[in-house]
Amino acid sequence: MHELSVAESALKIARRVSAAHGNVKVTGIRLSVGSFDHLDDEALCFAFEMLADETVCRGAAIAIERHPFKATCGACGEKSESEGIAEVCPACGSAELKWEGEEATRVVSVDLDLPDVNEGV
Amino acid sequence: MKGYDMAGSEKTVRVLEKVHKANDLLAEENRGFFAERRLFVVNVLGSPGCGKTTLIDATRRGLEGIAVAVIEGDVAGDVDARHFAEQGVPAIQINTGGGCHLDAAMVKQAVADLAAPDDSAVFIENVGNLICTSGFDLGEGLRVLCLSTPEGDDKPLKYPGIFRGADALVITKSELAEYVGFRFDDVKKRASLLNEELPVFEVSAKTGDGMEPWCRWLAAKMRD
Repeated sequence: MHELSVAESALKIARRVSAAHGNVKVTGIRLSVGSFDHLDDEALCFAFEMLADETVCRGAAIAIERHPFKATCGACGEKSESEGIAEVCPACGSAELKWEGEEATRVVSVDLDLPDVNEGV
Repeated sequence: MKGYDMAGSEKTVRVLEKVHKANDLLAEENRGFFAERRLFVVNVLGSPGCGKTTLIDATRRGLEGIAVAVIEGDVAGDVDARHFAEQGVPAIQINTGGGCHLDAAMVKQAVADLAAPDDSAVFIENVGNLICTSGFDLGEGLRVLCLSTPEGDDKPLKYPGIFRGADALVITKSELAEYVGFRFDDVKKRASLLNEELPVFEVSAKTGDGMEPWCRWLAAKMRD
C-alpha cells in the first residue's frame, strides 16, 4: 500500500497551494504517475479520499495521467509503446530494446474554488 | 451562458512538483551527512527471503579491513539487528509498523543513533519488497538489488522499476539455480532491457561461490 505515502505527499502539496490562496477549497488535483512507480489508481484515490476528509481537499476530484513504457529498438530504430516490458521489437524481432518511461510521479496541477470571478492569475 | 457564473470560479494552479520531493530533499541532507563522516552507504533491496541479510553478512566478512555497520528495516521485530549486534557489528533496527519501504526521514534518525565509526560501510537493509522501495531515495551511495534464484529469472519483466533504479544486481542462492530452473543469461538480458549497464553478480553466500568478485567490485566502488 505505497499509494498511501504518495497520497499523503499529494495532499500536502495541494493543501500548501490552497493555503497560499487563503485556504480555499480544492476541487481537483491532477497527478502524473511515473511509468516505473507502479501505482494503482483505485488505491491511490481511496488513500487520498481517506486522508483528505476534514481538510480543504475533501471531495476533490483526482485526475490521473498514466504514461506507457517506451521502447527504442537498437537494431531497426523502431519506437514503440506498451503497458508491459516486451523482450523483442514488435517491428523486427530483435532483442536489442531499450525501455524508458516517465521517471517521476508529480502533482501537475491543483484546482481551487475561488470566491471571486475576477481574481488575478 | 458561459462566463457569468457569479457563484465563484475555478482556478487551476500549475504545480509540477514531484510527490517525493520532500523525501528527496531529506535524502540529499543524508548524503551530505554521509559524506562528512565518509560513510559509504549501500541500500540493499529485494523480496522477503531473497537473502539480503545473509548477503550483507557474507559481504561484511569479505570486505577485509573495512568497518561495517547495518541499519535493518522490517515491518516488525529485531531479529536481523540482533543477529549483527551479537557479532559486534553496530546495528539499528527500524520498524516501519506496516510501512512497505524505508524513507529518508527514517534513515536520518537511525543513522544519528548508529555507532558507526567514520569511514565505515553502512548497509541499509530495506523492507522486503520489489515494488516501492525503489521510489525512495535514502541518500545512499549505491543501490544494490538482491534477487534469489528461486524467485525466477522473469522478475525484470514483472517489476521493471526496481531493476531500472539499481546500481548492481546480485543474484543470490546461485547454488539452487539448477534445481529451480533459473537461467542467468535470461535474467541478465531482461535486466539490460531496463538498465543497460547494470553490473550483475552471481553469488552463493552458503558455498562462498562468487563472493570474491562481488566484494572486490564493492570495495573498488568504496574507494572511488
